[in-house]
Amino acid sequence: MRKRKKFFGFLSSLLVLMLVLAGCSGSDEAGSKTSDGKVKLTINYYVGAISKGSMDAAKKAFPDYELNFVELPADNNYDVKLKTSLNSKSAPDIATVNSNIQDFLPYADKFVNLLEYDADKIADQYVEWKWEAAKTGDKKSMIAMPLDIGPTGLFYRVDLFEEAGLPTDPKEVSNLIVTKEDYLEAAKKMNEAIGKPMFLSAVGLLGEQYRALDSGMYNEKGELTLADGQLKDAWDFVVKAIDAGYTLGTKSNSIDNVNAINEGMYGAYIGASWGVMDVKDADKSAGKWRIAKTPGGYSNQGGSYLAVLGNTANPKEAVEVVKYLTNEESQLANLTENSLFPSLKSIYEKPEMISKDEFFGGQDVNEYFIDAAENITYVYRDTRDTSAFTYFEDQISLVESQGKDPEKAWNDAVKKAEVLK
Amino acid sequence: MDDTINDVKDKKSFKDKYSKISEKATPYIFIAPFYILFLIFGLFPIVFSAILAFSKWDGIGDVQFTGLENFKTLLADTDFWLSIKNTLIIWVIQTVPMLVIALVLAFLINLSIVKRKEFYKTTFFLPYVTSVVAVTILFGLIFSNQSGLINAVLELLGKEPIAFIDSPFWIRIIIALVGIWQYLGYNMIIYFSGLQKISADYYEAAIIDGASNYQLFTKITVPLLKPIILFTVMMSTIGGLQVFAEAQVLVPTNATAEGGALTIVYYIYQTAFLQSRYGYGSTITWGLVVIILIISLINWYLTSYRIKGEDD
Repeated sequence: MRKRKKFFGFLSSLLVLMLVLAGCSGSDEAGSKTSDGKVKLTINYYVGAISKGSMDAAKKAFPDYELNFVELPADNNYDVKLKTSLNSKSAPDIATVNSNIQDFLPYADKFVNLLEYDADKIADQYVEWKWEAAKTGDKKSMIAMPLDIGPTGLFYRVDLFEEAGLPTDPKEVSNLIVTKEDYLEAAKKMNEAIGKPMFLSAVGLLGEQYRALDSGMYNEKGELTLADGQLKDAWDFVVKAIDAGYTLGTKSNSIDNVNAINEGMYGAYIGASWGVMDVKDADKSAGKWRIAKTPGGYSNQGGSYLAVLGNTANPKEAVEVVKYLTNEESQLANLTENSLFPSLKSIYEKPEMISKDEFFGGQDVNEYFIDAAENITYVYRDTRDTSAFTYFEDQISLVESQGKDPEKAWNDAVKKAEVLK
Repeated sequence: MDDTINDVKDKKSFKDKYSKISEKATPYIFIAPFYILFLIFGLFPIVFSAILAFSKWDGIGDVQFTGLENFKTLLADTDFWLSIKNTLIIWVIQTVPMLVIALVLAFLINLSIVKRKEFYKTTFFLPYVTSVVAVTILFGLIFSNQSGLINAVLELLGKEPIAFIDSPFWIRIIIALVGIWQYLGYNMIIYFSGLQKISADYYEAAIIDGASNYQLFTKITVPLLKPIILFTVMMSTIGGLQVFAEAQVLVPTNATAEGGALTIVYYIYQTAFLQSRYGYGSTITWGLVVIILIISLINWYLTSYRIKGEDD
């Protein structure tokens, strides 16, 4: 009897062990088909990247597929998770990729090449620069389709511009502040007239300039070129602004910025189309903002892609779904529900694009964004582009907040960028 | 006939063997859950990061072995040394005042004239169960450059507002303050339970001899609490060297070693997860391991030679 008890003890502990092991290893690939033979596709997206209307429409359009949309937080972990899942079997079939798509291009073989599914046939419908940025350097592979973009405009305060004797009408502002020198001149005027800074922060200003550069931090051979010397010009421009006291010195993603906007503490910034939503957080500033043309060259900030991951069991079906989720109908839903600026040129002519916003004094806020979207040029970006640029942001913030010598700061940033491999 | 006998024999020996195996295996199976979890979440990352420390890896592609290159970079990396300096400064200005205040508080609450001990104990302990991130956001609001409470008070008093978050001097103090606020009660409770183990006889004898409260504290309480004080120092060391969340929440972007907010773990996070340099990130991690080892050795030396010997 005792033996028997022991035997059962052994058995049950084995069972526990097996359960624990099973729990650890996780279930294998859930299977590409459901029990009733439907094609099963999982789509991971970060918050706000796809609208509900677009998802519902896709589910209706593909009754034979089971589409499983999984919403994830839009934080730094999203990319880390996506990168790790590229090598795993439990990866989603489809995933959103942010505008840092260059990080994934070296691993194009881990994605389904959309060019093999005739993506190029619809290329001319999308804005070219966004489309091209999803292709590898040799243009032989394309890893994702553009969902939305973030063309920029000059957000400025009408009340402060008026007090400073600057024009207030968007057209006049666009005609007066054309180059970055004009931008600095306007800042000077504002500072002299009402003693307020035009710009939010050195980091913000350097970012605005960086996005407008027509080449990246590295060339296609992977050599650090600092945008063929243009970055230094941008740097010197920002240093000038700091020295003259034209920056407020507040971080852009902070509660202080909301406060600064509410209190009208600075005059203008170059923001992306999605920034129209963010600026409304400062509800006290309602009616005081307008948007003009970005000075110093067109630029883009943000905008997502949809990629099909290489491990998918149903690449053909997944590409179909991606094409659907980036088509006109879907992008229109994304525009009206989530204020995502379309990457499809045909939508720019649609009545839905006219967005007269009372927060902006009834101005049609999309006018200059459309202008930017159609004129931005493609810039080659190395995977290290963002990391290298961050060093310059870090250093310019030290110049601003701690009075670090600008030359030394520049050299420190260059030294750090040179080490990046 | 022979066959049946053999059969029975075989059956018996099989049973015997089986029960022997099961007897030996059972204890291992019972401790297996811990070891399996440890292998996956403990040992594997340790070994993998040791391999990565000598390699280059961006998280997707192949791991490339680079030999000692990462370690050479590490030794010449001013950001690494500066981030160690930041961490140590934060650790000292957090731990020393916190432990002193905790000890004094525990002593005061333990005094017989203090009523409602449970209330004080609970109140001081409460911050320990709060979330670091939530607490840090609150501190960030209090010390915010423009809209912060402290700067509002300063302005009310006619003083210039201070850019707390941007100043390398202040940011370290604020990070330390978050830690003090959160862990004060925890250490206080540990001291308090230690105090209760000290026999009342010592105090009574000292009081009869005419000792003051101050003398009771310095001559009886502190010496008898030494082992417990050491325990709290060690725990605070391990926690203090791994400060991350406070710094990351207070300075989420453009944190620099020169700016004061970049602690070692924050630097590891930036390198590995924001720049996707997992190899070099692992190298920094092993640098941190060495530092923790050195400090632990010092602690070990102090406990085994200086303290046990009692005034040798």
